[in-house]
Amino acid sequence: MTKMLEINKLYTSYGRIPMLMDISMDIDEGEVCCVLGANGAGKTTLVKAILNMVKADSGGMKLAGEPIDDWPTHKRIEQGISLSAAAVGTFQKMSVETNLKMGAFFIDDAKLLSERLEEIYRSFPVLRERLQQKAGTLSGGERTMLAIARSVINKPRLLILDEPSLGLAPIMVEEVFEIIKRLRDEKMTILLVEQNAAKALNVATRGYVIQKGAIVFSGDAEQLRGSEFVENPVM
Amino acid sequence: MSLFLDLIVSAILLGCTYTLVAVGFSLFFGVMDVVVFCCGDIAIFGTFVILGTYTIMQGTGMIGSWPLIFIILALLIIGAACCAALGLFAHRVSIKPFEKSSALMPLLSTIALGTVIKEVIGLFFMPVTNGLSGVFAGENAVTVVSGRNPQGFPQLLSINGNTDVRNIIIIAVTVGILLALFIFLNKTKTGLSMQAISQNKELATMTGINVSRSVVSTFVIGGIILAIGGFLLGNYQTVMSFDNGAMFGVKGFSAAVVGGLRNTWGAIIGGMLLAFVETFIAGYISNGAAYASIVAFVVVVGFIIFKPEGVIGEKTVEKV
Amino acid sequence: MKKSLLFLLVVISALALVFAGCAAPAEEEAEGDTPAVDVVKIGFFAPITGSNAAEGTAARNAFQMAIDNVNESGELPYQIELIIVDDQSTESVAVAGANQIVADELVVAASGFWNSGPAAAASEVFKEAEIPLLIWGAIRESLTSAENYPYITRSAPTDKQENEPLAEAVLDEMGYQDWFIVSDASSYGQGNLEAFTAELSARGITALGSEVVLEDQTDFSAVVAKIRESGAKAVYCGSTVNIGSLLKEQLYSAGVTDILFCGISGMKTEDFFKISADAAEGALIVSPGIILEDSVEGQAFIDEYTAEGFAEPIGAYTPYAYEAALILINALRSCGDAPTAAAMVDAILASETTGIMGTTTFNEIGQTTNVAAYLNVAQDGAWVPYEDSEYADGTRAFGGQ
Repeated sequence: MTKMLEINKLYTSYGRIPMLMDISMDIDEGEVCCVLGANGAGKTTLVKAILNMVKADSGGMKLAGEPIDDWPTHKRIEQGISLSAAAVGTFQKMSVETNLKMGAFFIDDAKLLSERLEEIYRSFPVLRERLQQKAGTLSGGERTMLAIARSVINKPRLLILDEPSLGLAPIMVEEVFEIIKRLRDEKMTILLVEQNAAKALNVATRGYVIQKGAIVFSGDAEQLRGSEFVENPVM
Repeated sequence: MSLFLDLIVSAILLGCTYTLVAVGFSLFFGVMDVVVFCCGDIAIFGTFVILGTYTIMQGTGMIGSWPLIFIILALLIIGAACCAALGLFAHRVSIKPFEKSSALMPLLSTIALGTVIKEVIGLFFMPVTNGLSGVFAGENAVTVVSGRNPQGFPQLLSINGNTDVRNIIIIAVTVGILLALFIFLNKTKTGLSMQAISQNKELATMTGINVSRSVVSTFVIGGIILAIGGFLLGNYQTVMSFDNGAMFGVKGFSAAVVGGLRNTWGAIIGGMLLAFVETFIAGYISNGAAYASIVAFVVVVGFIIFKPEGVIGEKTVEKV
Repeated sequence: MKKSLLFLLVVISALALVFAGCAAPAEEEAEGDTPAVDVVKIGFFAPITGSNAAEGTAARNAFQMAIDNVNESGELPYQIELIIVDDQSTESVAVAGANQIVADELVVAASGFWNSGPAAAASEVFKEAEIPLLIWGAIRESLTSAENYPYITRSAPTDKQENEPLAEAVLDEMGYQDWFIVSDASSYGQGNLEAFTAELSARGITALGSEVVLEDQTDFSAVVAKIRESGAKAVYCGSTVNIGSLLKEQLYSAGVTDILFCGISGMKTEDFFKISADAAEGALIVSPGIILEDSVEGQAFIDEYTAEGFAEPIGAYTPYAYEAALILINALRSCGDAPTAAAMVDAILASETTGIMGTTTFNEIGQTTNVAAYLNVAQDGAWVPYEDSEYADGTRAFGGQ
């Protein structure tokens, strides 16, 4: 199977403080791979490093076999890496529709764009009801939906979901993970970054545990559930 | 016309010029989170570029032989191009080097750059035209003694000295520019990118927007708007001085603050509000000019304290 | 390390730029290879930059010209060195420059000031240091007084002396009754406001309105609206050229044209014609001194100034700056080989100098006795002496009559 993303010995730092150390990982095409870790373990730094929003000190990265180390952020996104980060939020003063269009920034074909929007509305019916509403007025759950919808609209080769369940009510968390399952079933390659290990391991086939900027454990879902590094694997 | 109507017309015209500078401030602040304090000086630079170009055109005999509308358009295009270039230069030397430092640094450096622009106009406006004095040996020779002296601005919009036409054009151009800006910001990718960066820079980056390219576009657009603002101010005020930029900048900045720095549409209301307050206080209170500035200042401080999100700003929802 | 150094450099240069406008750059103009022992120094103040730069620079040119002439002639047994201070029309800059000048032991006298505010502020420094200051262009009446005697003298007329002939012309001869008075908030503007209001009250006239504007104001639409509303037939503008020309233009633009626009010498520079000739037409300005072209000495001064090729045209006070230099040189002549500031105080007061505008002596408070003024009118984009203008012979008429 092709490796969608390969990371080889990645190091990053913030000033003199090392943030990520010797991170090596890979994600197969079509799989859901998760990265687990506590708050401050370095998960978000890893996500940003994949998009080159945080510069790597050393190490290499490949997207579907092609080295991407020299690509700036916007090129990585254009080439199919999509990120949805709950903590970053939405474009609050733009309508839901405009927010979605911003996600499809690289789609120039108007017909294709409207097709994609239609698909999104089918998958996220709640958004169709809110199209002209400002994103800032949405509820937390709706905003998470919007963030995920925005990141899948351009059919990325690799979808990174950074803490999609952050700050959501339990019922909304369920709904978000239903969506992830659906995306998995559509064979989308997903890198799921989560604190909520139990939920993540429900949808992921494989995963890594990250602590203090280094990978301390990796394995399939079953192995991860049994690992001492995973906090509260069953809730 | 009664005093009241007179004052309304004056306030609207003054408001138009404030608005364009305020829009410049809010565009720059939105995209870069930086108060570019030399906006007023960039606009005045545009005024002087237009004035200098006009002087050269006059020397070569274009004025009078070419259609007026063509001359005005040519002046505007040259002024806008120079201001856009100056905007890019401002970004390169006074903002980009401090991207990683505190917001105070670009504030200081743009104030400093404003002084440089002002002094450069004062120093070099003279030699440019004097060096070409041979061309001006005609009846209509323009005598430019020094760039530090006030310069008369060609009254291109007053047809046969009729300022009603000029006033209508000033208002129409301002409205036109704002409409064009509205369409640009909401209908083009570059415009949407600028809005996206202004609302959520991190998310904009994640969306794949090339932030540095958007910053460049912002300075180009801002420069063009400031140049047009400078042109209208020159027509309204009739005599321009190289050091008008500071006053113009402070007024524009105040208007932008009243409008809620980040809010381009608030800047319009801010500009008009400021102009109305100033004009009516100066008009209805004896020796009101000094009070006008004080009240305008109080209005600005009041907004900073009680409504920092600006006159039509919504309280932004705290991020999750 | 390197970065913090760069940071520091940038902050310092930024501060330097921001405050460059506030510093007092005293440019010393050394005179060739004169041995230092044979030098006396004279301080000179003028607004060489800023909005009054045209007047200030022309005055500097003229003053320097007179000093250069006497240095070249070798008539005095020493060379005169000028310490030129650009006061930027600002009190604080003037005081800083004055302190610098009085600290120099070779300084025997100073001359200067186009603006009354800076002149008043610097006067205190010169009084304290007991060094004579001869004012050539600041006209606030209170500058020469018993209090400031004997250190502060003035070779130009006061605001009162300037306003008198204007008032006689527009009130007594032309008979305007309905006035609107505009002045600026500076010392100069206030002096003119008081002087002209006094002239009005002396004739039992109360102005329909008056307005004090700011020195850096550029938008006078509210003032124009008030003037229109007041129904005034004449506007008096007691301010400088920046405000005067803008007000005249904005009155014209607003269609308030059937009105007399008159004012004070601060407007009599070529800068006034930065506004269009049509807008400027008919402005009536009083100017100190005599019509230079009418006298041999005056014409000689114009010729010499023109021959030097200065960029700035002769303004209302340029001849006064030249005259001030002549007065100081004359006083130096009577002080022998080693003039001192103390000797110069008496020498200036006792001097009797015949220059380009007649003979100047000083009265009991150090004010010149040579008072002259004449009216000018803006006609076809130039200042024309009123007597020679088409307004005097009735070909053209002022508004509001």
